[in-house]
Amino acid sequence: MKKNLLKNKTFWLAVVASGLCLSVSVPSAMAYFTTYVQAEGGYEITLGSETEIHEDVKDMTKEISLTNTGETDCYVRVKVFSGSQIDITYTSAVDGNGNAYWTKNDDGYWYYSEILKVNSSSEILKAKIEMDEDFKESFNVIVVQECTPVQYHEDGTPYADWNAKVDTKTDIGVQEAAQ
Amino acid sequence: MKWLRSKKGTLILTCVACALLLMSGIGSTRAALTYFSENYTAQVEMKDIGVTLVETSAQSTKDISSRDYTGSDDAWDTTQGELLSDMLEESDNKLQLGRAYREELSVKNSGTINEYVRVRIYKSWTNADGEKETSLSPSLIVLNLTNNGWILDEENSTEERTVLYWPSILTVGETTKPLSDTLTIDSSIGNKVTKETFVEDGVTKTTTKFNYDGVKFHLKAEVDAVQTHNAKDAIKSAWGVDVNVASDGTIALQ
Repeated sequence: MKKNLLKNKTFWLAVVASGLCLSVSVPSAMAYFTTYVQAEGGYEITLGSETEIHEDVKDMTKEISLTNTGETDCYVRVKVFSGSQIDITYTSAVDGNGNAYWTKNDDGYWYYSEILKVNSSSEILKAKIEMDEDFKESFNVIVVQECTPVQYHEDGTPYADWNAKVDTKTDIGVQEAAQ
Repeated sequence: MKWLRSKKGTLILTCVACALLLMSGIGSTRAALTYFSENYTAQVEMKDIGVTLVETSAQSTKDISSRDYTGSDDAWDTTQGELLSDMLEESDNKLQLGRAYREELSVKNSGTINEYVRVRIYKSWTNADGEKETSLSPSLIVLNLTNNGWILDEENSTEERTVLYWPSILTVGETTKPLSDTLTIDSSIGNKVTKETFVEDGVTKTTTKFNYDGVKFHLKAEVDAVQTHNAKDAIKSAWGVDVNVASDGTIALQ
């Protein structure tokens, strides 16, 4: 009897009809309401501290100045090397209040007090060279210049970190006799 | 199957048919009532969700990007802005490494229904060619978090991505507290150099190249908002996150 039931079309018709009626009672699906936004920003980092040194010699006095030829502002310092037979006397340019632009530290370097902005030049540091006549034919006076990018504290106060210096040395050669 | 053809069988089938008819009829009636009720409810509660990303710099407070449902025809009012556009006005339009620029990000409910919100922050570097610079850590882009109410999802946050949830219901027109206060680019990026020494015309020269000259940092913020109705399920469905919802509506990550 069971086999006959399963073969009966009417039976199956009744099963399908029941299934359709039951499916009517299933509720439709609902989506949750959402929204979103986004935004982006950023800037390029420009690095590249580079300076050029200018040395004019007049009456046995070297006039030293530096020009910022890089892409970022920097602090600069210089150091002068010479033989023991040479005495050098330094004179720094001063500002309107009489404050020297160049100051010598115990490490032998002369530090420029202001930030050297891009494409600007420093004030002059004069190095007066004195020696015995015997040595005036040929002598070496070497000027080393160094620059370091300006760094900033959180409040925007600038400072120089000379441990992170970028050094650019001048040409090393024989200095001709005074002009 | 003889009983089906008998009078008894016919009677049984007739009764079943009638029962089926009745059931379908009752269902239809319920559907009609439900249809009208849900439609009315949807117009009042489920539409007009909206959210806005707000940025405060040293210059001003601005709505950066927004997306608000208009209430009809699946149309949205959207605005799209850019982050950090005023940032360098603090420093003569030059990026200063190490400086803490004011950068306060918050979220406003610009819709007409209450919502929950979350923010995902992405930080990255690209090189001069526009490709991702993988040798630079995103942690050098320091967006300082305020921790004033925002929940940090530490499990899903990385060096590059930070995920934050506002735990309370954001009511209509309300703005969250800022999730950040400053943005700083670490100055150590300027210390990485490569030096080359060579001899030219009898003169020894040393040149220094800054390894990261020309790289660009990127800061991106994505804000998601979801309805408060059925919060637990809605957040799970929309954000894939399990939360506990307190009686006052406050959510907490499980």
